Amino acid sequence: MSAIEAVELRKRFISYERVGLIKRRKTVVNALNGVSLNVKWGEVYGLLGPNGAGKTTTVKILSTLLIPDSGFARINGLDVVKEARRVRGIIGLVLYPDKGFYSRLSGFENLVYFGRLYGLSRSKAEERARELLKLVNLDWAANRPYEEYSLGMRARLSIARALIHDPPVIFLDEPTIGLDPVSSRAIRDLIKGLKKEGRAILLTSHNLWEVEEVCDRVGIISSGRVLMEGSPRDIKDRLGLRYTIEVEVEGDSRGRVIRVETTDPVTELKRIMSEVEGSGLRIGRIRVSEPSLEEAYVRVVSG
Amino acid sequence: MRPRDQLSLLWDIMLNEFRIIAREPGGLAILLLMPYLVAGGMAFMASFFTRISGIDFVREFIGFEVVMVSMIMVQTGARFISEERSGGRLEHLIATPTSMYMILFATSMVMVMVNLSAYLVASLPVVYGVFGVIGLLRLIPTLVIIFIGLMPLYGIGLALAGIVVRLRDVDALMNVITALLSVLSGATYPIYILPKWVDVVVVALPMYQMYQTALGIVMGSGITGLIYGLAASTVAYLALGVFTYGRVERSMLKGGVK
Repeated sequence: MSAIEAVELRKRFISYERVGLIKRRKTVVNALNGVSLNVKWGEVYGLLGPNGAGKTTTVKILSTLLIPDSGFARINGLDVVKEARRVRGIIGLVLYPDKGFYSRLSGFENLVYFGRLYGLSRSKAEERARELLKLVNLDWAANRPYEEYSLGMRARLSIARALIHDPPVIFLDEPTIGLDPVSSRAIRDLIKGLKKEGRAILLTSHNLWEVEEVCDRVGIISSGRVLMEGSPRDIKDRLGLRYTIEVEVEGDSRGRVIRVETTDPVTELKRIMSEVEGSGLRIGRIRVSEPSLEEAYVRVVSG
Repeated sequence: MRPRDQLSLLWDIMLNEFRIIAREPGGLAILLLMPYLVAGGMAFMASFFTRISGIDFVREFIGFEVVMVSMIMVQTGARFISEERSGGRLEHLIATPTSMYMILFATSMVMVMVNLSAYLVASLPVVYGVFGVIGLLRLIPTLVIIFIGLMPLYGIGLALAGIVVRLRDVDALMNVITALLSVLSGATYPIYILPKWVDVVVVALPMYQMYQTALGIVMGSGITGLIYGLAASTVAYLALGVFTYGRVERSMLKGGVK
């Protein structure tokens, strides 16, 4: 059974545009146009897409915060609409990493409170809050009021809250947005650790190299549709993106660099090496640059 | 969840709310001082036209106390939802397996307790000054009346929450409603100068019943049949509030928490 399963999710929103002083015009926004995806246990799935593509809407439907117009979604086999309360007990959620806590309460008090709302006993909630504050490296600031937390600290506390009830499925909606490199790396390491524990994680991000680093599979979404899905390498291969091979050749009067772009780096590299060695020269340095997920993303999204 | 666990959770939600309120002491101080300022101000203005007795002052004071705690109670549900939404917490609360009814009930209970404490502390010196020790004894049953009276007001507040989630400008809406309910409480405005049909509205609202009953007890003049009206409106308005909030939550899940 898949950890997360979404089939043909559709969602429309009604919005109003101002026309003139008082008049408003009703507009319909098709946020999702049949999104389907599957996330297995122990897998990190990255949902990529431009602003307004439908990433957050998908996360909100999967986390029971929105009811889809049609289609269905299941978390560990539980329907997100009909069995919403049971689903809520097995998912962890990071929605807005910079807010969502009580500013006058400390990080510890906030975590204990949400732990209680997730059904933990008081002592268990306190124990988990201590554990998690240590895990996200906030134990030193446990008793500081949330309003004094920096953006990075808030993001880490959000992740701690998502884990307070030890959920097997986790949704992370842009968890590293606005964070400095050190905090982002800490969060990426945390996600990798959670994956190793066998949890299913759905992550949305605009940071493509970050997605490439932590995600096993990626779905590229645009205009409410998943346009392409697969592992980052699969996607690049399917799009025929080219690897760049640079070989520094030594041995003749002046060193030179052979630069080749190819979709089949192994064969091409073998060919270059045999050619160089056949001509009695030496190879100084080889560099193979893989096409980035960003190239793939731009290619898919821009059609 | 077992009933014992539910009670323990209810208590912890209340404790959390107490903690937040206790860390904002300015609001509590205003709650205690406002009735003195307003009732004193009104008595001062009235003193230009007639001699103001201690009993007149108590009437004004209790009236304003009732209006003030009523306004706070009506606003509690709607303000809670509005503040949780703007703080990005509402979706996180909905995303927990705990029912929003329980969270709303627990947080409102805290406001009831704070209101009752403020009412008691603020009223003690005035009632003692006018009626002596007997006044203090009469104050105790009024706490029960105010507690019952706050329940239907909370129901009205929950119903208002439905409007709040559709609107951006909560403060403007609340100011209009506060002014309207203040007039319709029958405690701070001469109702007899308004059209007859307004009387019906005034009597149908819980503030009037709460005010008259509490005043009757403090004055030692009995509580008449108003207590039945208060009990009936408790059931009616709470049911209205619970029903309306159910629809509101459903509509939030359909349209998204904006």
